[in-house]
Amino acid sequence: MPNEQDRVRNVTEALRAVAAQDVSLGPSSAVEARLLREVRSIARTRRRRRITVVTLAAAAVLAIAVAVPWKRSADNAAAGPQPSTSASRGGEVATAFFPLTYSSLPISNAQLVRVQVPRSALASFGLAPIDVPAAAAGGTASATVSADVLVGEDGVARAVRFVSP
Amino acid sequence: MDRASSSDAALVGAIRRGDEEAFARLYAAYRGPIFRYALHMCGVGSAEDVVQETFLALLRGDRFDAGRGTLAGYLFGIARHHILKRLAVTRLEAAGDDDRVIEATAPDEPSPFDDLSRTEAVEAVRAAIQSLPSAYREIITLCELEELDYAAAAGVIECPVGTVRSRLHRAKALLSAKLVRLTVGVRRS
Repeated sequence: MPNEQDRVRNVTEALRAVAAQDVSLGPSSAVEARLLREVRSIARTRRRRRITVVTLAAAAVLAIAVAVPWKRSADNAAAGPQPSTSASRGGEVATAFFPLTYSSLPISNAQLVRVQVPRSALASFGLAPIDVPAAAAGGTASATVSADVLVGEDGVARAVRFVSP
Repeated sequence: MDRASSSDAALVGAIRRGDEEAFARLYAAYRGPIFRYALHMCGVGSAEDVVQETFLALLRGDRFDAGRGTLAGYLFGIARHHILKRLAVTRLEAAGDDDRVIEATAPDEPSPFDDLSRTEAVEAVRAAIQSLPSAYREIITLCELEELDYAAAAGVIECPVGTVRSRLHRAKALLSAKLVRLTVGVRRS
């Protein structure tokens, strides 16, 4: 005649037997296929978004370098503002951010995109090439300088700064 | 955050970036437990749907905070949410405690398994589990069949650990009583 302990032991053993028999049970491969499609769709969406942001950032930089030369003036070139510099990542030195055309738009989830721009773009912001230390061009008279473009989630560039590595 | 939860968080992060390999690892680890939980709770017809909805919720960004619990607990929690919705819709059973049945257990019945083969015993247990009220079926599934510890089970069903202990105790007693009745029926037939 089983006592309480025996009954509990019997139930526990019975449950272990059920668990052992069920261990190979799982959903069909159709469920996995459906979920994998979702994972791939996420990856595709992320890739597309990244490409869009980089493309728009590049376009914004191009606009800076090519379509805004009117900002350059003799005065600015001669006695333009000395950019305030600040330490950036990894010991880099960067100018302050210069606002771009759409800088007043609200911004969320901004990304900083590092690009190379023609050295002549510095003049568009009233900076003489000397304002970005020569190290920015690796100590040589490189045709390009590094710049960080602040791009919003909407892909619109808000500001740019020039960086000396 | 310990190493396990930090690695859970990293895994979920990779999956949400569309990393197929990370997803395959996570799916292989949890598809079985989530499927079996859903199977015991709402039947074979809904178990696959629950698995799919659980992992889709993970992929689509339901928040996982590794500081608040394990990934297993998080997945079981999502699955439970879908299971409860299904149980509510199908009204598989009326709410209510079945403790009275425990009191009616005849203490001097023979062991339920004395005269049964292993296969018969397993099937009898399976049928008995299915006939339990959902709260007891759930605690038996989580703690005994899927071997979650009490703390993890408490996290999933959102109750104190003490409640898990007492509910599991009652569930086992009730299961034992049901097994006695079921196996008596088998022996008579």
